[in-house]
Amino acid sequence: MTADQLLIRQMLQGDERAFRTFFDSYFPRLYRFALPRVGGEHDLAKDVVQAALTKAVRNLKDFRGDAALFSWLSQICRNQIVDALRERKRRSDNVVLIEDMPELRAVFDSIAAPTDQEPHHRYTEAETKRLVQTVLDRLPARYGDILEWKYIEGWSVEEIGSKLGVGHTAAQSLLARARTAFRESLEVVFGQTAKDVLASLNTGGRHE
Amino acid sequence: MSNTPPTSDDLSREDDAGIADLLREVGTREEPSQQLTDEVRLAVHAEWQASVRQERRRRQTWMMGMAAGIASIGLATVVMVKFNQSNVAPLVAAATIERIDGSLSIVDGSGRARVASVGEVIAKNDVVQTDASTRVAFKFNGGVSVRLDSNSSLRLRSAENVELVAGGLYVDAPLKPAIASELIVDTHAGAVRHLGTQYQVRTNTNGIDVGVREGRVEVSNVRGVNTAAVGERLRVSLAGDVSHEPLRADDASWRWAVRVAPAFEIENHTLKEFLEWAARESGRRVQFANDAARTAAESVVLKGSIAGLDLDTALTAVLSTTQLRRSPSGDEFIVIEMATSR
Repeated sequence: MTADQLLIRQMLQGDERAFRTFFDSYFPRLYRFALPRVGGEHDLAKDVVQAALTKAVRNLKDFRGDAALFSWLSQICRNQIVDALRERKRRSDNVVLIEDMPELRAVFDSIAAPTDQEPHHRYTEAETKRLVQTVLDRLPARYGDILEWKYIEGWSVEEIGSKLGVGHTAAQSLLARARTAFRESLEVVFGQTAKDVLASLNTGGRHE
Repeated sequence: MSNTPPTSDDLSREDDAGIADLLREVGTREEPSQQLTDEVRLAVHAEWQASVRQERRRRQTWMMGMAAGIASIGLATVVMVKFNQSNVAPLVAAATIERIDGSLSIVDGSGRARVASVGEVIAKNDVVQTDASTRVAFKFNGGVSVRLDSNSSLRLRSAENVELVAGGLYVDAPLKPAIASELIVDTHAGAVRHLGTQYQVRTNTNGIDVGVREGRVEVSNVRGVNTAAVGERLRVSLAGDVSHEPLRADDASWRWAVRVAPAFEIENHTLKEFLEWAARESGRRVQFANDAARTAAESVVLKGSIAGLDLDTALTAVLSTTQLRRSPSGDEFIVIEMATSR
């Protein structure tokens, strides 16, 4: 049984802690997924994410576990976004996000399970930064948060463990796994190491 | 000049630095505001709870339908069926699980273990076991709330009698119950009986500690009966020695019980009722700055849900939607005043 399937099973049993883990892990990521797709409107992003999560918790038994939980949630959210924009009679085809391009979408959807696809694109600096942040959001569990806490906020391993409610050893292990997952995902998306992706940012952004 | 290849430690440090530098260059991801997060959490949590309850009722209806079908063809044998890890409701429900924080296992009288869920009933001879990261709240007959701390074990003897095998137990019995609500807690150092109260009992290797937050409790042991009143902690040794010491209603030793308190359903309750619940759970008393504040609290009818919020956050969130606020005060009171005063 995967970690996602275990979490869903615990939620189906009414476990409050499982709900907290689910919400804290997925709400911010889903919000960031929705926000650019609704033209940056925070209220609309809130509405579609709330509708998506509400629909998800009503249909938890439908989660099979063959894709990552975030992929399942983001598909539900995508449908809510389409419905919401249609209702508002907005044209959404002028909002094309780099990570929504078909070949990249497949890559991100499979980030939990490596893929053979290798996108070939030239990304601007802004696109590269967006993609790196999307990679963080697509990592399993709270790996993206853990990496930001450690490397941007400067938290110690103890502080990370305290935030997650785990001990020092468990927090160290999570950090190591997060680094590995991030490194592997960068290879999948960019075909390069973190150092090389950074180098492309610092040389004016064009990345291939 | 050395041509030594980099060690795995060197590569690891380099990799670490590369990730760190990239993330700092990219910057943090945008976080939704706390207010927005809380609003969505409340709505989704309410939907999730409704879904869990609906599924529970569906399974119980299915089980009753199965039982009726079997009886209709005249089977003489009683069949126990396990379905999705739920048990058939026992003939006499002793208590119902109201809240689980963590993962709860129950061993029945035959030694069979099962994973328990919210809404399940527990029956005679069931042993409830919590691990280091689990707490649970039950509702017994007459509205008595019983909460079991982490690393604890409880055996259900009947609807009126439990055995605290190990760990900590909190009992909140209504002052004016609709029906009789006696609950006796047996321990290795004596039996505890409440007299309309909030109290907790905790076992240790030397005996038990009984703390009383409201009302009185009686503790019977080899030496006789001892009473503990509100604001007291009774220490009872295995040999029957008893000592009393003061215990404040807001002492830190009560906090675990607040964390696993069943959520108060604010929908269609008055603000005053909510404040009284919050005060009761935290060992404090509500005090209104003046009659205007009291009248306002009595007239405000709340909508929505505070499920998923800790008590102080819930207080702040609910009051922010009214014309009232908390006034700074000591630990003993929750003082409420009109927001326009001062």
